[in-house]
Amino acid sequence: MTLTPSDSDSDPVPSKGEPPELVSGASVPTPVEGETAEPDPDVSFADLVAAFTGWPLKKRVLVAVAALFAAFHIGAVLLRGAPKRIKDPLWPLASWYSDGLRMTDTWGMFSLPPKDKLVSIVGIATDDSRIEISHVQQNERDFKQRIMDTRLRKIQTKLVDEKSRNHWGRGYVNYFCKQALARGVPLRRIQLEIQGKAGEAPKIFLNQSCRQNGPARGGLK
Amino acid sequence: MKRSGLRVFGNFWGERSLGYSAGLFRIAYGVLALWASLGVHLNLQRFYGQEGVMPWARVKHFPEHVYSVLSVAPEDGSWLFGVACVFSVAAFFLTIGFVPRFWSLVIFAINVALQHRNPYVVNGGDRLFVILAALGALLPLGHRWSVDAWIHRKLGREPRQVSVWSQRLIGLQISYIYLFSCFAKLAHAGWWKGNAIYHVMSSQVFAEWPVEITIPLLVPLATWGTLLFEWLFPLAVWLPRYRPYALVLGVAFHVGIDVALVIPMFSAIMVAAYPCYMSDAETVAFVNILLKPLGRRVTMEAPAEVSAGGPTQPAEGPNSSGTRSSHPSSSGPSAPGSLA
Repeated sequence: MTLTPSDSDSDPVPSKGEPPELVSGASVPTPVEGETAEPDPDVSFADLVAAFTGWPLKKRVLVAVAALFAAFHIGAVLLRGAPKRIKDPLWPLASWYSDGLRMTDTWGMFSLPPKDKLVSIVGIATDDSRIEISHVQQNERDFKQRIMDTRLRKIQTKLVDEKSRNHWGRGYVNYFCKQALARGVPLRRIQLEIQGKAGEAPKIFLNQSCRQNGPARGGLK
Repeated sequence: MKRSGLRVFGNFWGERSLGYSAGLFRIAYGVLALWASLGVHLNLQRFYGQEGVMPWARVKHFPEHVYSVLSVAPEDGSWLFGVACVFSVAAFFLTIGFVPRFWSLVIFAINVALQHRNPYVVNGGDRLFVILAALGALLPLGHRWSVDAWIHRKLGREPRQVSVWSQRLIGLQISYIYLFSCFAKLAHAGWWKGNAIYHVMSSQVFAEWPVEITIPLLVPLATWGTLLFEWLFPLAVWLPRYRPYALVLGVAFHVGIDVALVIPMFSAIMVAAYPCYMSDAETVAFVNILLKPLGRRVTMEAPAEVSAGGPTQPAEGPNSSGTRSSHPSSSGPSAPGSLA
Protein backbone atom coordinates (compact mmCIF):
# COMPACT_ATOMS: atom_id res chain seq x y z
CA MET A 1 0.00 0.00 0.00
CA THR A 2 1.52 3.26 -1.09
CA LEU A 3 0.37 6.47 0.50
CA THR A 4 1.22 9.67 -1.24
CA PRO A 5 2.72 12.46 0.84
CA SER A 6 0.58 15.52 0.58
CA ASP A 7 0.20 19.02 1.81
CA SER A 8 -1.96 19.27 4.91
CA ASP A 9 -4.43 21.56 3.20
CA SER A 10 -4.80 19.84 -0.11
CA ASP A 11 -6.36 16.59 -1.06
CA PRO A 12 -4.07 14.21 -2.88
CA VAL A 13 -5.40 12.48 -5.94
CA PRO A 14 -4.68 8.79 -5.73
CA SER A 15 -3.18 7.18 -8.79
CA LYS A 16 -5.36 4.82 -10.71
CA GLY A 17 -5.85 1.61 -8.82
CA GLU A 18 -4.20 2.97 -5.71
CA PRO A 19 -6.13 2.99 -2.47
CA PRO A 20 -6.71 6.38 -0.93
CA GLU A 21 -5.17 7.72 2.25
CA LEU A 22 -6.84 6.72 5.45
CA VAL A 23 -5.73 9.09 8.13
CA SER A 24 -5.88 12.84 7.67
CA GLY A 25 -5.75 12.26 3.99
CA ALA A 26 -8.46 11.53 1.51
CA SER A 27 -11.51 9.76 2.79
CA VAL A 28 -12.68 6.49 1.50
CA PRO A 29 -14.71 7.60 -1.49
CA THR A 30 -18.39 7.05 -1.70
CA PRO A 31 -19.13 5.66 -5.12
CA VAL A 32 -21.14 7.86 -7.41
CA GLU A 33 -24.69 6.62 -7.77
CA GLY A 34 -24.90 3.85 -10.28
CA GLU A 35 -21.34 2.70 -9.76
CA THR A 36 -20.43 -0.44 -7.92
CA ALA A 37 -18.41 -0.01 -4.77
CA GLU A 38 -15.14 -1.87 -4.63
CA PRO A 39 -14.59 -3.95 -1.52
CA ASP A 40 -12.68 -2.08 1.17
CA PRO A 41 -9.04 -3.05 1.32
CA ASP A 42 -7.77 -4.23 4.68
CA VAL A 43 -5.85 -1.69 6.71
CA SER A 44 -3.31 -2.63 9.32
CA PHE A 45 -1.66 -0.56 11.97
CA ALA A 46 1.58 -0.92 10.01
CA ASP A 47 -0.14 0.71 7.01
CA LEU A 48 -1.07 3.68 9.13
CA VAL A 49 2.45 4.00 10.48
CA ALA A 50 3.85 3.71 6.96
CA ALA A 51 1.46 6.42 5.78
CA PHE A 52 2.44 8.67 8.64
CA THR A 53 6.18 8.28 8.15
CA GLY A 54 5.80 8.90 4.43
CA TRP A 55 4.38 12.37 4.90
CA PRO A 56 6.45 15.56 4.87
CA LEU A 57 7.73 16.69 8.24
CA LYS A 58 5.34 19.65 8.45
CA LYS A 59 2.31 17.45 7.93
CA ARG A 60 3.57 14.86 10.39
CA VAL A 61 3.99 17.51 13.04
CA LEU A 62 0.55 18.99 12.37
CA VAL A 63 -1.17 15.61 12.47
CA ALA A 64 0.71 14.60 15.62
CA VAL A 65 -0.19 17.85 17.39
CA ALA A 66 -3.83 17.55 16.32
CA ALA A 67 -3.99 13.92 17.49
CA LEU A 68 -2.40 14.76 20.83
CA PHE A 69 -4.74 17.68 21.37
CA ALA A 70 -7.81 15.60 20.49
CA ALA A 71 -6.67 12.84 22.83
CA PHE A 72 -5.99 15.31 25.63
CA HIS A 73 -9.32 17.08 25.21
CA ILE A 74 -11.28 13.84 25.19
CA GLY A 75 -9.29 12.63 28.19
CA ALA A 76 -9.96 15.84 30.11
CA VAL A 77 -13.67 15.73 29.27
CA LEU A 78 -13.96 12.13 30.47
CA LEU A 79 -11.89 12.82 33.56
CA ARG A 80 -14.15 15.70 34.56
CA GLY A 81 -17.13 13.40 34.69
CA ALA A 82 -15.29 10.41 36.13
CA PRO A 83 -15.86 9.05 39.66
CA LYS A 84 -13.91 10.84 42.37
CA ARG A 85 -11.47 7.99 42.99
CA ILE A 86 -10.36 8.14 39.35
CA LYS A 87 -10.57 11.88 38.96
CA ASP A 88 -8.72 13.08 42.02
CA PRO A 89 -5.27 11.58 41.37
CA LEU A 90 -5.24 12.77 37.76
CA TRP A 91 -6.94 16.12 38.22
CA PRO A 92 -3.74 18.18 38.62
CA LEU A 93 -2.85 17.25 35.05
CA ALA A 94 -6.09 18.65 33.65
CA SER A 95 -7.22 21.35 36.07
CA TRP A 96 -5.43 24.15 34.20
CA TYR A 97 -7.33 23.15 31.10
CA SER A 98 -10.66 22.31 32.73
CA ASP A 99 -10.94 25.06 35.32
CA GLY A 100 -8.38 27.58 34.10
CA LEU A 101 -9.43 27.60 30.46
CA ARG A 102 -12.92 26.33 31.29
CA MET A 103 -12.77 23.66 28.61
CA THR A 104 -14.72 20.94 30.39
CA ASP A 105 -17.78 20.68 32.58
CA THR A 106 -20.25 18.17 33.94
CA TRP A 107 -23.68 18.01 32.37
CA GLY A 108 -25.99 16.45 34.91
CA MET A 109 -28.56 19.20 34.66
CA PHE A 110 -31.94 18.43 36.21
CA SER A 111 -30.87 14.95 37.27
CA LEU A 112 -32.05 15.89 40.77
CA PRO A 113 -35.37 17.69 41.31
CA PRO A 114 -34.71 21.46 41.32
CA LYS A 115 -34.35 22.72 44.88
CA ASP A 116 -33.46 26.32 44.13
CA LYS A 117 -35.75 28.76 45.85
CA LEU A 118 -37.19 31.87 44.32
CA VAL A 119 -35.16 34.71 45.82
CA SER A 120 -36.32 38.31 45.70
CA ILE A 121 -34.51 41.46 46.72
CA VAL A 122 -36.80 43.85 48.52
CA GLY A 123 -35.90 47.39 49.51
CA ILE A 124 -37.38 48.97 52.61
CA ALA A 125 -37.73 52.69 52.02
CA THR A 126 -37.32 55.36 54.67
CA ASP A 127 -41.14 55.42 55.08
CA ASP A 128 -41.11 51.63 55.64
CA SER A 129 -42.74 50.90 52.28
CA ARG A 130 -41.60 47.79 50.42
CA ILE A 131 -40.03 48.14 46.98
CA GLU A 132 -39.49 45.01 44.92
CA ILE A 133 -36.04 45.52 43.41
CA SER A 134 -34.83 42.33 41.88
CA HIS A 135 -37.10 39.45 41.22
CA VAL A 136 -36.13 36.33 39.34
CA GLN A 137 -39.52 35.38 37.94
CA GLN A 138 -38.74 36.01 34.31
CA ASN A 139 -42.26 35.98 32.88
CA GLU A 140 -43.25 39.03 34.92
CA ARG A 141 -40.84 41.35 33.11
CA ASP A 142 -40.80 43.25 29.86
CA PHE A 143 -38.64 41.99 27.01
CA LYS A 144 -35.59 44.21 27.60
CA GLN A 145 -35.58 43.50 31.30
CA ARG A 146 -35.86 39.78 30.59
CA ILE A 147 -32.76 39.92 28.41
CA MET A 148 -30.88 41.87 31.04
CA ASP A 149 -31.96 39.77 33.97
CA THR A 150 -31.77 36.34 32.41
CA ARG A 151 -28.73 35.47 34.54
CA LEU A 152 -29.95 36.98 37.77
CA ARG A 153 -31.66 33.75 38.75
CA LYS A 154 -28.36 31.94 38.79
CA ILE A 155 -26.50 34.38 40.97
CA GLN A 156 -29.40 35.31 43.21
CA THR A 157 -30.45 31.78 44.08
CA LYS A 158 -26.86 31.05 45.13
CA LEU A 159 -27.37 33.46 48.00
CA VAL A 160 -29.52 30.87 49.71
CA ASP A 161 -26.27 29.05 50.37
CA GLU A 162 -24.77 30.41 53.58
CA LYS A 163 -21.19 30.12 52.43
CA SER A 164 -21.84 32.16 49.29
CA ARG A 165 -23.91 34.63 51.27
CA ASN A 166 -21.12 35.21 53.76
CA HIS A 167 -18.57 35.53 50.99
CA TRP A 168 -20.20 37.99 48.63
CA GLY A 169 -23.79 38.52 49.80
CA ARG A 170 -23.16 41.93 51.32
CA GLY A 171 -21.37 43.23 48.27
CA TYR A 172 -24.24 41.98 46.16
CA VAL A 173 -26.85 43.75 48.25
CA ASN A 174 -24.73 46.90 48.46
CA TYR A 175 -25.04 47.26 44.72
CA PHE A 176 -28.80 47.60 45.02
CA CYS A 177 -28.47 50.12 47.84
CA LYS A 178 -26.25 52.27 45.62
CA GLN A 179 -28.52 51.84 42.62
CA ALA A 180 -31.58 52.94 44.57
CA LEU A 181 -29.73 55.95 45.92
CA ALA A 182 -28.56 56.92 42.43
CA ARG A 183 -32.19 56.82 41.29
CA GLY A 184 -33.24 59.11 44.08
CA VAL A 185 -34.94 56.42 46.14
CA PRO A 186 -32.84 56.12 49.29
CA LEU A 187 -33.45 52.87 51.10
CA ARG A 188 -33.20 52.15 54.76
CA ARG A 189 -32.34 48.55 54.25
CA ILE A 190 -32.43 45.65 51.83
CA GLN A 191 -33.95 42.25 52.46
CA LEU A 192 -33.33 39.04 50.60
CA GLU A 193 -36.45 36.92 50.72
CA ILE A 194 -37.28 33.37 49.75
CA GLN A 195 -40.73 33.15 48.30
CA GLY A 196 -42.94 30.64 50.04
CA LYS A 197 -45.92 28.77 48.68
CA ALA A 198 -49.08 30.66 47.83
CA GLY A 199 -50.48 32.26 50.94
CA GLU A 200 -47.27 31.90 52.92
CA ALA A 201 -45.22 34.90 53.96
CA PRO A 202 -41.76 35.15 52.38
CA LYS A 203 -38.85 34.12 54.54
CA ILE A 204 -36.23 36.82 55.09
CA PHE A 205 -32.76 35.34 55.09
CA LEU A 206 -30.62 38.46 54.78
CA ASN A 207 -31.36 41.87 56.17
CA GLN A 208 -28.82 44.59 55.61
CA SER A 209 -28.90 48.29 56.22
CA CYS A 210 -28.15 50.70 53.39
CA ARG A 211 -25.74 53.38 54.48
CA GLN A 212 -25.37 56.29 52.17
CA ASN A 213 -21.71 56.70 53.01
CA GLY A 214 -19.22 53.90 52.95
CA PRO A 215 -19.89 50.23 52.85
CA ALA A 216 -23.21 49.05 54.14
CA ARG A 217 -23.32 46.92 57.21
CA GLY A 218 -25.89 44.52 58.34
CA GLY A 219 -26.53 41.21 59.91
CA LEU A 220 -27.43 37.86 58.55
CA LYS A 221 -30.47 36.24 59.95
CA MET B 1 -7.98 -3.05 17.04
CA LYS B 2 -9.39 -4.99 14.09
CA ARG B 3 -8.44 -3.86 10.62
CA SER B 4 -11.99 -2.77 9.76
CA GLY B 5 -12.04 -0.86 13.02
CA LEU B 6 -8.88 0.95 12.02
CA ARG B 7 -10.47 1.86 8.74
CA VAL B 8 -13.59 3.26 10.40
CA PHE B 9 -11.38 5.11 12.88
CA GLY B 10 -9.27 6.56 10.09
CA ASN B 11 -12.26 7.62 8.05
CA PHE B 12 -13.99 9.10 11.07
CA TRP B 13 -11.16 11.51 11.82
CA GLY B 14 -9.68 11.83 8.35
CA GLU B 15 -12.76 12.56 6.27
CA ARG B 16 -12.29 15.58 4.00
CA SER B 17 -14.52 18.58 3.84
CA LEU B 18 -14.82 21.73 1.76
CA GLY B 19 -15.91 23.67 4.84
CA TYR B 20 -19.63 24.12 4.20
CA SER B 21 -20.64 22.65 7.54
CA ALA B 22 -17.98 24.69 9.30
CA GLY B 23 -19.29 27.77 7.50
CA LEU B 24 -22.82 27.19 8.70
CA PHE B 25 -21.54 26.55 12.22
CA ARG B 26 -19.57 29.80 12.04
CA ILE B 27 -22.61 31.85 11.09
CA ALA B 28 -24.82 30.25 13.75
CA TYR B 29 -22.17 30.61 16.42
CA GLY B 30 -21.33 34.15 15.31
CA VAL B 31 -24.94 35.31 15.57
CA LEU B 32 -25.11 33.76 19.01
CA ALA B 33 -21.87 35.49 19.96
CA LEU B 34 -23.34 38.82 18.86
CA TRP B 35 -26.35 38.15 21.05
CA ALA B 36 -24.11 37.15 23.95
CA SER B 37 -22.03 40.30 23.54
CA LEU B 38 -25.21 42.37 23.69
CA GLY B 39 -26.03 40.66 26.97
CA VAL B 40 -22.55 41.45 28.27
CA HIS B 41 -22.88 45.13 27.35
CA LEU B 42 -26.29 45.40 29.00
CA ASN B 43 -24.88 43.97 32.21
CA LEU B 44 -21.30 45.15 31.99
CA GLN B 45 -21.13 47.24 35.13
CA ARG B 46 -23.71 45.25 37.06
CA PHE B 47 -22.08 41.84 36.70
CA TYR B 48 -18.44 42.64 35.97
CA GLY B 49 -17.76 46.20 37.10
CA GLN B 50 -16.07 47.32 40.27
CA GLU B 51 -19.29 49.04 41.34
CA GLY B 52 -21.44 46.05 40.42
CA VAL B 53 -22.74 43.06 42.34
CA MET B 54 -19.34 41.38 42.42
CA PRO B 55 -16.50 43.75 43.34
CA TRP B 56 -13.04 42.54 42.38
CA ALA B 57 -12.11 42.05 46.03
CA ARG B 58 -14.62 39.18 46.23
CA VAL B 59 -13.07 37.15 43.42
CA LYS B 60 -9.44 38.23 43.25
CA HIS B 61 -8.24 35.24 45.23
CA PHE B 62 -9.21 32.78 42.48
CA PRO B 63 -5.99 31.34 41.02
CA GLU B 64 -7.57 31.06 37.57
CA HIS B 65 -7.23 34.79 36.97
CA VAL B 66 -3.86 34.02 35.48
CA TYR B 67 -5.83 33.01 32.38
CA SER B 68 -7.94 36.16 32.36
CA VAL B 69 -7.29 39.26 30.25
CA LEU B 70 -9.43 41.22 32.69
CA SER B 71 -6.92 40.62 35.46
CA VAL B 72 -4.53 42.99 33.65
CA ALA B 73 -6.53 45.92 35.06
CA PRO B 74 -9.31 44.36 37.09
CA GLU B 75 -10.64 47.53 38.65
CA ASP B 76 -10.43 49.68 35.54
CA GLY B 77 -13.85 50.28 34.01
CA SER B 78 -12.33 51.49 30.73
CA TRP B 79 -10.40 48.27 30.28
CA LEU B 80 -13.56 46.28 30.98
CA PHE B 81 -15.50 48.32 28.45
CA GLY B 82 -12.72 47.90 25.90
CA VAL B 83 -12.69 44.13 26.35
CA ALA B 84 -16.47 44.03 25.95
CA CYS B 85 -16.21 46.08 22.75
CA VAL B 86 -13.57 43.71 21.38
CA PHE B 87 -16.00 40.88 22.12
CA SER B 88 -18.62 42.58 19.94
CA VAL B 89 -16.11 43.27 17.18
CA ALA B 90 -14.89 39.67 17.30
CA ALA B 91 -18.46 38.36 17.12
CA PHE B 92 -19.14 40.56 14.10
CA PHE B 93 -16.01 39.54 12.20
CA LEU B 94 -16.59 35.90 13.07
CA THR B 95 -20.11 36.07 11.70
CA ILE B 96 -19.06 37.59 8.40
CA GLY B 97 -16.04 35.31 8.21
CA PHE B 98 -13.12 37.73 8.20
CA VAL B 99 -10.14 35.88 9.70
CA PRO B 100 -12.73 33.94 11.70
CA ARG B 101 -10.41 31.49 13.44
CA PHE B 102 -8.51 34.36 15.03
CA TRP B 103 -11.72 36.04 16.19
CA SER B 104 -12.99 32.75 17.54
CA LEU B 105 -9.92 32.58 19.74
CA VAL B 106 -10.50 36.17 20.82
CA ILE B 107 -14.07 35.29 21.82
CA PHE B 108 -12.71 32.32 23.73
CA ALA B 109 -10.17 34.42 25.65
CA ILE B 110 -12.67 37.16 26.50
CA ASN B 111 -15.33 34.76 27.70
CA VAL B 112 -12.86 32.85 29.83
CA ALA B 113 -12.00 36.19 31.43
CA LEU B 114 -15.63 37.19 31.95
CA GLN B 115 -16.44 33.82 33.51
CA HIS B 116 -13.55 34.12 35.94
CA ARG B 117 -14.52 37.70 36.75
CA ASN B 118 -18.00 36.62 37.81
CA PRO B 119 -18.37 32.84 37.92
CA TYR B 120 -21.70 33.06 39.70
CA VAL B 121 -23.71 34.08 36.63
CA VAL B 122 -22.36 31.27 34.47
CA ASN B 123 -24.34 28.20 33.50
CA GLY B 124 -23.63 25.12 31.41
CA GLY B 125 -24.53 26.89 28.19
CA ASP B 126 -21.88 29.52 28.83
CA ARG B 127 -19.31 26.82 29.47
CA LEU B 128 -20.20 25.18 26.18
CA PHE B 129 -20.02 28.58 24.47
CA VAL B 130 -16.38 28.87 25.57
CA ILE B 131 -15.54 25.28 24.66
CA LEU B 132 -16.96 25.70 21.16
CA ALA B 133 -15.09 28.97 20.66
CA ALA B 134 -11.82 27.15 21.31
CA LEU B 135 -12.65 24.02 19.30
CA GLY B 136 -14.27 26.13 16.57
CA ALA B 137 -10.98 27.91 16.00
CA LEU B 138 -9.66 24.60 14.70
CA LEU B 139 -12.37 24.35 12.02
CA PRO B 140 -12.07 25.71 8.48
CA LEU B 141 -14.42 28.51 9.48
CA GLY B 142 -13.59 30.84 6.64
CA HIS B 143 -13.72 28.46 3.69
CA ARG B 144 -17.35 29.10 2.78
CA TRP B 145 -19.87 31.93 2.91
CA SER B 146 -17.29 34.33 4.29
CA VAL B 147 -15.24 37.40 3.49
CA ASP B 148 -12.18 35.16 3.48
CA ALA B 149 -13.74 32.94 0.82
CA TRP B 150 -14.63 36.00 -1.25
CA ILE B 151 -11.03 37.26 -1.04
CA HIS B 152 -9.73 33.82 -2.02
CA ARG B 153 -12.00 33.77 -5.05
CA LYS B 154 -10.79 37.22 -6.08
CA LEU B 155 -7.23 35.96 -5.81
CA GLY B 156 -8.13 32.98 -7.98
CA ARG B 157 -7.46 30.38 -5.32
CA GLU B 158 -9.15 27.01 -5.65
CA PRO B 159 -11.47 25.64 -2.96
CA ARG B 160 -9.54 23.43 -0.59
CA GLN B 161 -10.41 20.26 1.24
CA VAL B 162 -9.34 19.84 4.83
CA SER B 163 -9.70 17.14 7.44
CA VAL B 164 -12.79 17.29 9.62
CA TRP B 165 -11.02 16.10 12.75
CA SER B 166 -11.96 19.19 14.74
CA GLN B 167 -15.55 18.98 13.51
CA ARG B 168 -15.62 15.45 14.90
CA LEU B 169 -14.30 16.71 18.21
CA ILE B 170 -17.23 19.12 18.49
CA GLY B 171 -19.66 16.37 17.48
CA LEU B 172 -18.27 14.07 20.16
CA GLN B 173 -18.45 16.89 22.70
CA ILE B 174 -22.14 17.45 22.03
CA SER B 175 -22.87 13.71 22.06
CA TYR B 176 -21.06 13.40 25.37
CA ILE B 177 -23.24 16.13 26.87
CA TYR B 178 -26.42 14.25 25.98
CA LEU B 179 -25.08 10.91 27.19
CA PHE B 180 -23.70 12.36 30.43
CA SER B 181 -27.00 14.08 31.08
CA CYS B 182 -28.92 10.86 30.38
CA PHE B 183 -26.81 8.68 32.67
CA ALA B 184 -26.80 11.32 35.42
CA LYS B 185 -30.59 11.32 35.28
CA LEU B 186 -30.77 7.53 35.36
CA ALA B 187 -29.05 7.62 38.74
CA HIS B 188 -32.08 9.27 40.31
CA ALA B 189 -35.44 7.71 41.07
CA GLY B 190 -37.61 10.51 39.70
CA TRP B 191 -36.46 9.76 36.18
CA TRP B 192 -37.09 6.04 36.56
CA LYS B 193 -40.51 6.60 38.08
CA GLY B 194 -41.42 9.08 35.38
CA ASN B 195 -42.22 12.13 37.52
CA ALA B 196 -39.04 14.21 37.19
CA ILE B 197 -40.49 16.58 34.59
CA TYR B 198 -43.28 17.43 37.03
CA HIS B 199 -40.73 18.91 39.43
CA VAL B 200 -38.87 20.75 36.67
CA MET B 201 -42.01 22.31 35.22
CA SER B 202 -43.32 23.35 38.61
CA SER B 203 -40.04 24.97 39.65
CA GLN B 204 -40.54 28.65 40.31
CA VAL B 205 -36.94 29.27 39.44
CA PHE B 206 -36.40 27.21 36.31
CA ALA B 207 -39.81 27.18 34.66
CA GLU B 208 -40.85 30.12 32.52
CA TRP B 209 -44.46 29.52 33.55
CA PRO B 210 -44.37 27.34 36.65
CA VAL B 211 -47.20 24.85 36.40
CA GLU B 212 -48.14 21.64 38.14
CA ILE B 213 -48.91 19.32 35.28
CA THR B 214 -51.88 17.12 36.09
CA ILE B 215 -52.68 15.72 32.65
CA PRO B 216 -52.44 11.92 32.92
CA LEU B 217 -49.52 10.32 31.09
CA LEU B 218 -48.03 13.66 30.02
CA VAL B 219 -45.46 13.78 32.81
CA PRO B 220 -44.16 10.21 32.43
CA LEU B 221 -44.13 10.52 28.65
CA ALA B 222 -42.15 13.76 28.82
CA THR B 223 -39.80 12.30 31.44
CA TRP B 224 -39.05 9.07 29.64
CA GLY B 225 -39.10 10.83 26.27
CA THR B 226 -36.31 13.11 27.49
CA LEU B 227 -34.26 10.12 28.58
CA LEU B 228 -34.90 8.32 25.32
CA PHE B 229 -33.89 11.34 23.27
CA GLU B 230 -30.71 11.96 25.25
CA TRP B 231 -29.75 8.33 24.87
CA LEU B 232 -30.63 7.83 21.21
CA PHE B 233 -29.54 11.16 19.72
CA PRO B 234 -25.80 10.64 20.28
CA LEU B 235 -26.03 7.29 18.47
CA ALA B 236 -28.46 8.14 15.68
CA VAL B 237 -26.84 11.39 14.67
CA TRP B 238 -23.71 9.60 13.44
CA LEU B 239 -25.69 7.41 11.06
CA PRO B 240 -26.49 9.29 7.84
CA ARG B 241 -29.81 7.49 7.45
CA TYR B 242 -31.11 8.65 10.82
CA ARG B 243 -29.23 11.96 11.08
CA PRO B 244 -31.94 14.25 9.64
CA TYR B 245 -34.53 12.83 12.05
CA ALA B 246 -32.15 13.14 14.99
CA LEU B 247 -31.31 16.75 14.16
CA VAL B 248 -34.94 17.77 13.64
CA LEU B 249 -35.89 16.10 16.92
CA GLY B 250 -32.95 17.80 18.60
CA VAL B 251 -34.05 21.23 17.40
CA ALA B 252 -37.61 20.54 18.61
CA PHE B 253 -36.25 19.30 21.95
CA HIS B 254 -34.20 22.45 22.49
CA VAL B 255 -36.92 24.82 21.31
CA GLY B 256 -39.14 23.15 23.91
CA ILE B 257 -36.51 23.67 26.62
CA ASP B 258 -35.96 27.27 25.61
CA VAL B 259 -39.66 28.10 25.64
CA ALA B 260 -40.50 26.25 28.84
CA LEU B 261 -37.44 26.90 30.97
CA VAL B 262 -35.24 29.84 31.89
CA ILE B 263 -31.83 28.56 30.89
CA PRO B 264 -29.94 31.18 28.93
CA MET B 265 -27.69 30.15 26.08
CA PHE B 266 -27.76 26.37 26.51
CA SER B 267 -30.33 25.35 23.91
CA ALA B 268 -29.12 27.88 21.37
CA ILE B 269 -25.49 26.82 21.60
CA MET B 270 -26.39 23.13 21.36
CA VAL B 271 -28.38 23.73 18.16
CA ALA B 272 -25.68 26.03 16.78
CA ALA B 273 -23.26 23.11 17.03
CA TYR B 274 -25.48 20.75 15.00
CA PRO B 275 -23.90 21.64 11.62
CA CYS B 276 -20.76 19.91 12.88
CA TYR B 277 -22.61 16.61 12.50
CA MET B 278 -23.54 17.32 8.89
CA SER B 279 -21.69 16.55 5.70
CA ASP B 280 -21.05 19.29 3.19
CA ALA B 281 -23.78 17.91 0.95
CA GLU B 282 -26.27 17.81 3.81
CA THR B 283 -25.39 21.34 4.81
CA VAL B 284 -25.84 22.70 1.30
CA ALA B 285 -29.16 20.85 0.96
CA PHE B 286 -30.30 22.29 4.29
CA VAL B 287 -29.27 25.82 3.34
CA ASN B 288 -31.17 25.45 0.08
CA ILE B 289 -34.29 24.54 2.04
CA LEU B 290 -33.85 27.75 4.03
CA LEU B 291 -33.25 29.79 0.88
CA LYS B 292 -36.13 28.30 -1.09
CA PRO B 293 -38.70 30.93 -0.02
CA LEU B 294 -36.29 33.60 -1.27
CA GLY B 295 -35.99 31.89 -4.63
CA ARG B 296 -32.25 31.42 -4.20
CA ARG B 297 -29.99 28.42 -3.88
CA VAL B 298 -26.34 27.66 -3.31
CA THR B 299 -24.30 25.10 -5.17
CA MET B 300 -21.48 23.03 -3.85
CA GLU B 301 -18.15 23.68 -5.45
CA ALA B 302 -15.74 20.87 -6.07
CA PRO B 303 -12.07 21.07 -5.18
CA ALA B 304 -9.62 21.35 -8.03
CA GLU B 305 -8.36 17.82 -7.47
CA VAL B 306 -11.82 16.36 -7.62
CA SER B 307 -12.78 18.16 -10.79
CA ALA B 308 -9.73 16.59 -12.34
CA GLY B 309 -11.31 13.19 -11.89
CA GLY B 310 -10.78 12.17 -8.28
CA PRO B 311 -12.76 9.64 -6.38
CA THR B 312 -15.47 12.08 -5.33
CA GLN B 313 -16.23 13.09 -8.89
CA PRO B 314 -19.60 14.82 -8.94
CA ALA B 315 -22.45 13.50 -11.01
CA GLU B 316 -22.30 16.52 -13.25
CA GLY B 317 -18.97 17.58 -14.62
CA PRO B 318 -17.23 20.77 -13.69
CA ASN B 319 -17.81 23.88 -15.72
CA SER B 320 -15.06 25.98 -17.17
CA SER B 321 -14.32 27.62 -13.85
CA GLY B 322 -13.89 24.33 -12.10
CA THR B 323 -17.14 24.52 -10.21
CA ARG B 324 -20.24 22.44 -10.62
CA SER B 325 -23.89 23.06 -10.30
CA SER B 326 -25.40 19.70 -9.54
CA HIS B 327 -27.74 19.24 -6.60
CA PRO B 328 -25.46 18.56 -3.70
CA SER B 329 -27.60 16.00 -2.03
CA SER B 330 -27.56 13.73 -5.06
CA SER B 331 -23.83 13.13 -4.95
CA GLY B 332 -20.70 14.71 -3.57
CA PRO B 333 -18.51 13.74 -0.68
CA SER B 334 -19.60 10.96 1.55
CA ALA B 335 -21.43 11.81 4.71
CA PRO B 336 -18.97 12.38 7.51
CA GLY B 337 -19.23 10.59 10.73
CA SER B 338 -20.63 7.51 9.21
CA LEU B 339 -20.01 4.61 11.48
CA ALA B 340 -22.27 2.40 9.46
